[in-house]
Amino acid sequence: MNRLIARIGRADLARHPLQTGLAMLGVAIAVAVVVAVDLANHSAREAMRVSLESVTGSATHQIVGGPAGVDERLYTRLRTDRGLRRAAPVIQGGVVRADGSGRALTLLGVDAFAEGPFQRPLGQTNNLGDAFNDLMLRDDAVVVGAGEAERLGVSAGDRMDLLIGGERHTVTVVAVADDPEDQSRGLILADIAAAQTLLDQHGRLDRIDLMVDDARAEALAETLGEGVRIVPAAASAQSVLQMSRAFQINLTALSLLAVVVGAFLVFNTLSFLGVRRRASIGILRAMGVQRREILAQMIGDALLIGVVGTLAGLALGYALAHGLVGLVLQTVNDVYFARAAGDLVASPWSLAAGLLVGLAGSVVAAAAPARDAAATPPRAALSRADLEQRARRLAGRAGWVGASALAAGAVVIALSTGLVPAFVGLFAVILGAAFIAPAIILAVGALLRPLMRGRPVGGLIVEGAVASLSRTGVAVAALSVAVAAVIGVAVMIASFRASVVDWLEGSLAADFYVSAPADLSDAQADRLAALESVRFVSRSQWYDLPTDDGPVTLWALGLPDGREPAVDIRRPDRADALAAYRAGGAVLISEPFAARRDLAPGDTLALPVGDSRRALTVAGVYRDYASPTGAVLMPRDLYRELYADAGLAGIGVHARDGVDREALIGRLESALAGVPGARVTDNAAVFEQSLRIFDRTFAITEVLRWLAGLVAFVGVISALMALQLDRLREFAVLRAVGLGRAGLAGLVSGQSALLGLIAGLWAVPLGVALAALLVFVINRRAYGWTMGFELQAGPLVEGVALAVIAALLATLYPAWRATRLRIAAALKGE
Amino acid sequence: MRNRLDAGLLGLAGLLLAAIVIGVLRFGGAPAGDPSTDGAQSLAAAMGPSANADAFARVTGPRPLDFPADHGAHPDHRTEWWYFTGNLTSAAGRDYGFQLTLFRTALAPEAGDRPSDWATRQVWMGHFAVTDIAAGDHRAVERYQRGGLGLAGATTRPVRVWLDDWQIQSDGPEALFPLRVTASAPSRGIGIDLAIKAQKPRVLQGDRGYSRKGEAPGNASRYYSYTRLAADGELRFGDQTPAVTGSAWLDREWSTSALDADQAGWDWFALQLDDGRDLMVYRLRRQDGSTDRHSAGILVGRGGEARVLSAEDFTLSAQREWQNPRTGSRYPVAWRLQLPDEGIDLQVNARVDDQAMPTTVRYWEGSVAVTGSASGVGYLEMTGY
Repeated sequence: MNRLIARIGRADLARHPLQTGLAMLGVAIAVAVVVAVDLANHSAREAMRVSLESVTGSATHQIVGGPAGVDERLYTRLRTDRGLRRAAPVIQGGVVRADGSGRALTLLGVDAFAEGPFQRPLGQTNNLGDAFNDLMLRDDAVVVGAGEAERLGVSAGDRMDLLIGGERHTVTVVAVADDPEDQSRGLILADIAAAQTLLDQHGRLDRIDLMVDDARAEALAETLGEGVRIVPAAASAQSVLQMSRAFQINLTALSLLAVVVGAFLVFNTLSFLGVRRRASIGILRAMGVQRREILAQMIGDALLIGVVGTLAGLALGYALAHGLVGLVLQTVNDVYFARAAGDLVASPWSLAAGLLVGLAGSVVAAAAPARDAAATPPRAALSRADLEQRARRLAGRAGWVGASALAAGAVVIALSTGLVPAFVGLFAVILGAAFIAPAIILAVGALLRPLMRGRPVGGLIVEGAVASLSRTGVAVAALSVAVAAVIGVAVMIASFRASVVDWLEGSLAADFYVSAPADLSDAQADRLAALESVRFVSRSQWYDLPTDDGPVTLWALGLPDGREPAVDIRRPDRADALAAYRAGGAVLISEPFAARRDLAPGDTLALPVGDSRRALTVAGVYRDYASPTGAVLMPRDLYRELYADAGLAGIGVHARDGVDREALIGRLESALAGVPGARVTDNAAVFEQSLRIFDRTFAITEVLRWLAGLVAFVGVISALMALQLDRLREFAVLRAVGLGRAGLAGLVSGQSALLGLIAGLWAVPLGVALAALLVFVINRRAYGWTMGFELQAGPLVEGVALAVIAALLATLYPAWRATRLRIAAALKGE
Repeated sequence: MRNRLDAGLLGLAGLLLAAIVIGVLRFGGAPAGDPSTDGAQSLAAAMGPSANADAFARVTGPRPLDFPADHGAHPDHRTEWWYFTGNLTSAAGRDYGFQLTLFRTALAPEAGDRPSDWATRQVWMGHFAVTDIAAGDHRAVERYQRGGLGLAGATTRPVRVWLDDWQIQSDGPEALFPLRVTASAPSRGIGIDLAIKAQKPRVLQGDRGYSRKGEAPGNASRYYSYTRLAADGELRFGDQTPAVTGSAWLDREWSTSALDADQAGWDWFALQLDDGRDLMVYRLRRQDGSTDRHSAGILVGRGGEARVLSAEDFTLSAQREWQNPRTGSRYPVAWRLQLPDEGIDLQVNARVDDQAMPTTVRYWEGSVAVTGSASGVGYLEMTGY
């Protein structure tokens, strides 16, 4: 490129530092959001994988049994009779730090002699000899990783009190293991003998990990017998990762929304650049400068803005990711996997995505306006009116393109079933609506024009807004999209929350819930049921049944005759479903489970029982937001027959009407005296706790919603400010013909407010449509959840206000400049 | 990403391994050195004195041995082993050497009162090696196991000593022989399955089985041997699984602390001569290279009659050294062994130079050929180099 022309371009950027800076800021924020979300997602995935592997190690298969686990003697037979070398016994159980913190930990019992090939984090620093002997010889010796030791505030040699199964045990940390990646976060490690004693699990193992190829595993599976079976070790980890994938796709989509808005911004900034330079381009062209040189200059400038914005965005994104990863992990912990934890993991792909969005986005966005500017004939370039004429024509055409995109998006959503096409459709709808925005401005202008007769300032406001379409159209579109996102996500969250509240009210049927760290017994339940003020009790057991496709959560529910499970059955109708459920050999499944396994009422679900399988009928599908992995509800009698487990994880106490609740709590607690760690929880407390988790889960979504809003906010400020600054000469004319300072300020802010209002109002239907898509399509496809639609005025008003305030803020500086204008100087101007 | 993770896990696995090694190697708790630089210790160092040795049962004088009970484990002594070596020949005339040793180590002098079946104070280590003489190929494997839950242990009636699927088991309930020895290590392509019969009665080493190794009281072991066993069965080496026959030797020894602080190691010879005699000698080396006066041996006649040898009865001179390229240690692999009183003057040569054990405890254990005043085969063990 001609150096001189390049310098003219750069000088133009330098002469308008505010506009240039805002453009760069727009690019930076868009890039930052993309990078931050991608990094946070990636880090969360890594954290989950690392935590899962810290327990699975490099096992390929696992031998599992029923709820009672695996007979430990099987392990000896595997080694001595079958010569199986790569097999390792594992037992694990939940424990709680008894002193103050109440930190929940997993006690992992392994056999150091079998661990070698499994590469579970279990290391040592110095002084190994004694620590090893202690681990082997003592029932109270444990090892923790360095990171966990720091969190627990213990070092080698310290004692620590743990609550295990409700009883207090004192253990000694005999060594702190090096754990540079904090893989063993939340883990306490003990020799298997000590772990069996601490967890009171003598004679049985939770599982036996294997490292074998599939053929060997199959051969082994055929001869194992004895109620045990082999499942792929990765199944459990895979299912967790897969389930959280839907959540991460949602986040990625939200970050892409920021990209869309950001791309609009870059496009807007650069088309504005073209507009502003029309005069100088006209002169250059008249002097014989080639089109492609003009094009090169524009693209070069776009790239400059892109490079600076992208670099700043990468740094900003990295910083932002530090905050986001915590939020993402919080959600993951609450919903999917309780031990995911970790730090930001740098991923080259995240940075590459940011670079692509920033640089390629800038160039692509600049291409059209640059070609447009370069293609203008020299004389026309000097004409402003011609430009606005063209913008108006373009607005009409863009309206048609937008309408087609809207229709196409709707068709894609209607015809597809997957989550990704749903997002494609969603984006098509958003883009379509954005393209329609300029046409909307024209329409509003046409509507308002008759009202402004005889009101010169009002007329100026409307005409000014409409006339500036070439410079504001894209900004308004971007603002609409962003505000629509803000509205849509808010409505979706409100709808979701309302559905959860509704569901909680329906399913928290009992007045009190009794739980304990160790299994409760029927005798204890009977004791509660016999209390005078108790109408009846429900008895629940939960069991994560390992299967080839990952664990299936079984919910065994025991109710007195004539009582029905308090679940909201969605299909078929309640009476039919319950009739089938009572008929025997049938289960109710939750919506997410039905969606994941593609099951409908009447279908057959085969569950592994011992080393065989048992076919059960799906009696119905019920609503459940508790677990995105889903659950299978079966009568407790059936569960006990299948899995020979008489334990109870929870007892629901239904009180008689008009009972003094406080007094009943006291009686329940005294009936439970002697049950270690037993707790009576009021259903109101469960309700609140559930909603707290819900709100925490959506914290990240809220943050992203506001980030998308922020991008639009900066964008619209930069566009409108540029617009108004560009019009200083026009303002001088107005001042010269007698418009007062206040009038001018009103004119400037009125025009901006009008544009903001149009954008905000247009965002309302778009936002509602977006919310409907999120509620009825995206959440449905991602998790299988159905929910109601809860439309309240709050988010809509918020959205419109956001648009108008952004627009008004954008005028502060230009209005201030305009009122302090020295008329003569400004008129002399260029 | 994957690479980073793998490196981390490998590091942790390495540390874990170091933990096991150090724990297991508390054979005698001798000054152990830094495990990261000196993971391979000498058996001699491990056999040395230790601070809390007093708490374990000690071997302090002769006592009558009681069989089959003494074929089983002596859990209150710190260290014990069942040591099989032998020279085999396939039907096609190919020669092999084998070693299968099961070591038991007690981590504590007393058993705790612990409810778990996994709980144990006994740690077992197994060494298994096969040498293909013609190919000059020596393959060895090491295993560890805990002495709980029937994973490794020693019982009597019938005698069964095992670690995972490596096993020595008597055919009948009362007598040790005949017995069957099975071991395999698919990862190294070696295995043996041998039926073994005694061809001579048991001989007691030292003073009726009381074998003094050092000056300090209690630095001694209980030691008996079967010096001439007939082995018959199948062997695996690589993709060959020939039927084999040959001779084998069993050493049984248990102790708590054997070596004095200034003893560096030993050279142990177990030779089976074609004239029907068996000769065992061991030389205990002092740190200064001299021969310790507790060095000893035994000469067993054709009919099983035994003569105990003292340090003055034999002389040993090393004639050629071989350097282990992996560790730098230099082992004498050719020896001259003389017993002037018996008119014995033997040349003992390693049948393969590289029979160094790549195990946690580094030593050389391998098949040797005997020439000179008598010919024969045998096994040589050298530690502390």
